[in-house]
Formats: sequence, structure tokens, C-alpha cells
Amino acid sequence: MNNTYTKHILDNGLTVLLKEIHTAPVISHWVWYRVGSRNELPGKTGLSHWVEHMQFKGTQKFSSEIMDRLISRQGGHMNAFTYLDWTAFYETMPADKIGLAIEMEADRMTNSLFDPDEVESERMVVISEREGQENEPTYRLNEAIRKTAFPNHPYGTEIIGEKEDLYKISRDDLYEHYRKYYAPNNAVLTAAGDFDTDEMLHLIEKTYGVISAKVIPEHSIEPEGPITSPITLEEHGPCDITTMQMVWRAPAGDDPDIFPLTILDSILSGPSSLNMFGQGSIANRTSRFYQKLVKSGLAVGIGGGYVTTIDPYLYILSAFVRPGIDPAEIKGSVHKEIDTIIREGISEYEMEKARKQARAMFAYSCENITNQAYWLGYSSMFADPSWYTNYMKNLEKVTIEDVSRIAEKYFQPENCLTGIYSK
Amino acid sequence: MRAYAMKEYKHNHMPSSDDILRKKLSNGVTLLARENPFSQTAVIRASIPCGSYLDPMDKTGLADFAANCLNMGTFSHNFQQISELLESSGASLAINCGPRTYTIQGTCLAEDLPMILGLMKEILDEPSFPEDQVEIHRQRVLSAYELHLHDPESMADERFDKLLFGDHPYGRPELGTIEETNSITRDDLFAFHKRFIGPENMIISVSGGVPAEKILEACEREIGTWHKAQETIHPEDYFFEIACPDHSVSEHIEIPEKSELSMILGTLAPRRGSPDFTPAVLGNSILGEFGIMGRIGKTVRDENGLAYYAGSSLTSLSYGGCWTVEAGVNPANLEKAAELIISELKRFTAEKVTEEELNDVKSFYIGSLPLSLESNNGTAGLMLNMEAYNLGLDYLVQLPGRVKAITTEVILETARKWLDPGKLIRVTAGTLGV
Repeated sequence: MNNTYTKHILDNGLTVLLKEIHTAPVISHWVWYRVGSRNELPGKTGLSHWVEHMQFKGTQKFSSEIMDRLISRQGGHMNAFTYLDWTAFYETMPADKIGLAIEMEADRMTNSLFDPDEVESERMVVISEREGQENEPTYRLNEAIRKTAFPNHPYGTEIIGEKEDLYKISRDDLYEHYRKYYAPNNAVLTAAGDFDTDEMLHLIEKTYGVISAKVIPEHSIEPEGPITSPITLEEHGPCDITTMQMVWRAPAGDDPDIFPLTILDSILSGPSSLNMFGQGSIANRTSRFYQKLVKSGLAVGIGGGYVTTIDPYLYILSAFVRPGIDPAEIKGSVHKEIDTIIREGISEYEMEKARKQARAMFAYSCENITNQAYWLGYSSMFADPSWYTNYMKNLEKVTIEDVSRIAEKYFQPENCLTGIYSK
Repeated sequence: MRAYAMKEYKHNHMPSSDDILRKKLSNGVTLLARENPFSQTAVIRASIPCGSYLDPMDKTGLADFAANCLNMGTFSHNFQQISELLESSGASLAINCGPRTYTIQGTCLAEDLPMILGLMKEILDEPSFPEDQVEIHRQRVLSAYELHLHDPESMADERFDKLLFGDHPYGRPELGTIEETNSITRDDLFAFHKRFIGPENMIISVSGGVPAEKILEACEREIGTWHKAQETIHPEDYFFEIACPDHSVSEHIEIPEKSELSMILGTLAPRRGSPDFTPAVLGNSILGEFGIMGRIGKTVRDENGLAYYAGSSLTSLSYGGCWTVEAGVNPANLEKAAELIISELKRFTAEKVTEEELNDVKSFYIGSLPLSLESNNGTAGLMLNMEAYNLGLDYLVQLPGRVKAITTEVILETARKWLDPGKLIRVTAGTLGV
């Protein structure tokens, strides 16, 4: 894959990362704001996600109806995501229509209306969205686990926010959050696709360059310490099958340990794509946990993985427990398998297989133009774009000893929190 | 309206005769290959003219069953070995059964293209249909059938197809009944494979980070050498001509304890290669797709709040297709929603669409074409369609011109030719309490 991109910082502080790709007449344009649920305080949780919703409710120049119609009429599509550390907006357009997306995105960086009636109607939409999620056993289990795993850090709260906060948050709270964090010097613009870098940069400077920088509030956040006792949570509710999760504290996204962890994850649970769009997946029938838990008849299905974040987050192993099986058996089997890796290490074959799987997953995730612009921005949120461009090089450096070391450092039974959701 | 374009787009990146390598392999298989120099992966999309139309009358689902068991073991590799071979390379390989074709999809790193091609040939050529895996798959099919019986949308679709297409292959259900599924034996699978699965009329489309000439070399070596005796199939013998319904038919399938009722209403559609196809696509977009489900969505959902979803779709295949309106409605709103839909269909077949409506959907249709070419998967799929539907290698380059030439008069003529609001098939499924 061509890893060449250019980096520019405009006078107003906007970081611009551009990557020319000429395989299809398409350009994907993203704006990433360094604000997510990590930046929220108790009592005002869910602000970042709700502000993202309000960004689709229009500006003086582009009403909400016009926004969607103009993009569709040109054959493009747009969407947005709010995450723990960031909020991102994107449009993927036919190359000759990208000017529209740039103008619209620059406009809503600073001119969104936050109409009070729209705020009220969106309140019910967001609350309904949360209630819909609450119907899912995995959501309820995940919420309980996060609260326990992060007693002090904002990662302990669901991105959508606490329900009582969603009832209380005012239009002014939302607008203040928007005015505080939506600024060029708190954003990274990424674009990938069929453009000439000089022309694209000129257009970006002309459109975004007129927006003033702001003073972004400093928000000191202490990373959460390790999980120090092997707690087991039990949640009950309607469900057909018992679900369980085992979680351990994972390293931060910019920690070099993330690369051995990627190899270990591949060996234990099968490779996970690091991509928001989840492109490229394999059946994962040969991983150690699949063989020990599913093939042996303890679980119906398993999945494991981690996400890259600013502060240390979690490695999560989920399992659907086979009816009649005690979840404790699964827990015991998992700890035993990890202990085997700590004591005996992994084989050279497993190492090579994991490296190759990681390489394939990474290549699939970079397969389309939208994903490539996504990667430039995503890696900038917890590290910098070199994390992305050097990804494979760093995986190649991982040794068999590194994998055992990581298993020992992060996956001790006494640092594991287990959650079980059953009837 | 100001011009937003950054520049007039001058380069042509659409796959075309300029950069698609089209060759017949020595065994007659047609290959379409296109290099994507920016990619480290490769995608294979292949088809063979073997689908559910070949199901014996008393064993519906046999073709689908066989397709799903092909990669569960061969006489050279067992299930675990095939899984290891694929997963140790981060690759995947799957076979899906449609009414007229098996579609094979493989994804791998570019360097593994020869391995995936070789494995594809092996599973197509020498499946062992291992007993344990066949039984595991049988349980999956039986579970899927149980779910289907309780799914209003799936049940309505199946009945609609039967009423519209009758004994035509497009009218046959995808899944067999419990009795039919239980009656499928390994001998049936071997016999089906022996008769119908082979390289005759096979098409392979490959897009990825491999030069087209290298793709050709690998395909020639791995696939071009595949020779297998099989029955010569003439699909046209099975896919006879059918006519639009000459009167309205309405049926309901009662499924208890469902809060939402699925409704499907429609008739035949032009086949993929018909001159009516593109006008029908644009017209359908105005009728029930563009924005939030077109005119039908606006009337039924936005203005009257009668449905959770309401829109139209056009399915055009080699030998015909269907033009349908589908809606999910509360049972209390069924007749009102149906009336509004019929009234929109009457308007659509009585009056020309506006120039603004047509321009919107033309822009959307032409503009979104490049987006489908973002990935190797999109490109390989489009190339496969070009060959399968005889569209020509320059189809995508010529398409914008063809779309631009369509007028509001042509849309009206096409709508009148295919849609008669007085002669539609209607099926509902869910809880009416009747």
C-alpha cells in the first residue's frame, strides 16, 4: 500500500492530512474533533453525541433538509460518529463534487443553529436510541462492566450518556459544548482520493482558513489504574442465552505494547479489524479460544478484541455460553489457556500466522478510499499518522517473548473482571 | 446555485476496455482482470450457471445445500485443514446459491491469489461432503426454515414470488421444507455436483494488487487446467417467458403475535438487458427510493405516519424480475396505506414526473457510480455483471450518456408499460386476527 501522505497546518491551527489515491474518481473528506465522552463531566454526560446529532440540524446556509438532499443529488453519502476520544464527520463524494462537502463541513464547524425546537425533538430521539440499546443484553452487561472497570475515568460512562443527564441537558449546555470544542485548532481534516494535493490544499485553505482559532479548555484526566481484584458481576434480564464478558485493562493506543497485544489477540481470539467499517473478516475457527471454548462445546460463539484509545481501555472477551454449561468452566478454561502461553510461549508457526493475519486485516481495512481517510484521522486521535503508516513495520518487530510478556503483564486472573448476563 | 466543483474532472478511472483484460482460458472459462496498483489485496468474484433452478421438484433447496457444503471438505483437505489454509493467510472463500448461478467470492492478500484460485478449483472439483459437516449444515438449514416461518417479510416475499412467477424458477422458494431438507442425502449432493458443477460457462472476475497479466497466468494455471465432464445446461430451457398479471390478486398469511405487518405489492419488471431497464431504474428511484424513500415514503410515512417503512424497489435479473412496493405497517393502518400507495402508482402512470425530480435522480445515479468502485470488491462485482449480462466492457463509460438521454416522457412510457395499478399482486403477512 502507498503510505505517502502530506501534512499541513493552517494558520488557524487546523491540521490537514492529504493522501492522493487515483484508483477511482472518489474523494473522502473527514473532519475529526478532539472531543468525545472522555471530555464530559458527571451530570453532563452524552453532550458530545448529542452535539453530533445537532450538526445535522442545519445552519443558516444549509438547512437540515438541504444538507442531505444536496449530498444525495451529487451521488455522495455522509455520516458521523461519536466515540470515547473523538467526534468525526465525513462525506464521500464523486471527485468533482467534493467542493460541496468542504463548504458544508466548514460551515457547520462554526455556524450550526441549535434551534431550541430541534434540540427538544432530538432529546426524545437520543433517549429512544438509549432505550433501544438497553433492550440488548450485551449493552446492559457492557454498561455494568464499564462502570466497574472505570470507577473514576469518563470511559466508565456509555458514550450516549446517562439517561438522567439526557433529560436535564439544556440547549445552552449543548451550544456551549459546541462552541468550546468545535474549532479548527481542535480538529484534524483528512482527505483521501482522486485529487491533486496542491489544488485540494488551496481549496481547504480558502474555505476553512477564514475560521478563527479558539482557546480549547484544558481537561486533565488521570488514566484509570489496573483492575486489582478478580470481581464477578451478575446481571439478570430477559434473554435466550447466557452471555459473559471477561475484561482486562489494555494499553493505551500509543503504547508500544499495543503491537504485541495485536499478535496475542490474533492467536487467542482470531484477528480483529481495527476498522470502523469492519471490512474484511475471516471465520476465526482456528484461534486458541475457538478451539478451547467452542470446539470443546463450552460456548456457542466467542469474540475478543480491544480498541485504540488515548488512555488505557479494555481487552474484552465475549462468549455465548452453551446451555447447561457453568460460566465458571469457561472462565477457568480461558485463564488456563493464557497461563499456557505465559509458561510455554507461542510457536513460530502461530507467530507467523498472526503476523500475516494482522497484515491481511490491515490491508482489507485500507481497501477503500473512505477507509484510508478514516485511518489517517483515527490514528491522529490517539497517536499520529505514523502509527498508521508504521503499523506493519512495528508488528514485524514483535518477538515470541514479547507475546508471553504481554500475556503476563496484562492478562493475570487477578486483573480480570468477569460479567455474566443470564435470565 | 453556485458551482461547487473543485475542477472539471478530466481523468477516466471507470473500468473499461482500456484497462480490463478479458480472455478465454484454455478450458473456455471467461476471465476479466483489472489491476488495482494501490491495493495489497485481491478479490475474486466468479459465477457458474448452476442455481436453484436445477433443484429437483421434490428436493427444493438441494442446490443451496450443495453450495454451502462445497468448502466443508475435499478429497485432499478436511474441514479443519481448509479452515487453517484460509485463516493462516487471513483469507476467506464462500459460495452462494442464487436462482440462476452459484457466486463464488474470495478475498485474500494479493500474494495469495494463486492459493485461493487453487483452493477454489479444488472445492468445486472434488468436494467430499463429509458426513459430520453435512449434518451440521442440515441443522442450520432447519433452524433457518423455522425462523423463516415466523418472519412476516420473508413469508410475504416467498408467497409474492410464487403468485407472480408461478412455476418459473424465480417463483421457487430458496429453502426446502423440513421434509425436503431431511430427505437430502450425501448421494444427492454427489450426484448434483457430478451433473451440474463444472467450468462450462464459468466467469471469473479479479480485481486487486496484481498485474492483469499475472492474474491471467495464475488463472490459466489454477483454473484453465480444470476439465470435468458435466451435463451441458441450457438455462433458457428452464427460464420460460412469463407475462404480467392480467388481474389483481390479494392474499394474506396469518402469523400470530406480530406488531408489524409486512406488505408487498407489485408486478413484473424488465430484465437486466432490456432497453426499459435504465428508465425503470430512474423512475423507481423517484417513486420510492430517492431521499427518504421517494414519493411513496413521503406520502405514506412522512405525511401520514402510516408505516415504519414504505418504498419501492426494482429487481432485474437475466430473465425478468419484479417491481415492488414494500411497507411495514401497523395492522390498523393497512388499508389506508395500501390506498395511498395505489394512488401514488396511479399518479406515476398517469402523469410525467417533473424535470426537477428526474434531474435529481439522474445526478444521484451518475454521481454514485464511482463510489461503487472504491474497493476491489465493487470493481470485481461490476466486471462480473458486465460479462454476465452482456453489457460490454465500456458499459460504465457509456452509462452516464445513456442516463442523461432519458426524458420524462420515456419514464412515463416505461411506467405505463410495466405498472398497471389495477393488475397487481398483493401479499400481506403478520397478525390481522382473521
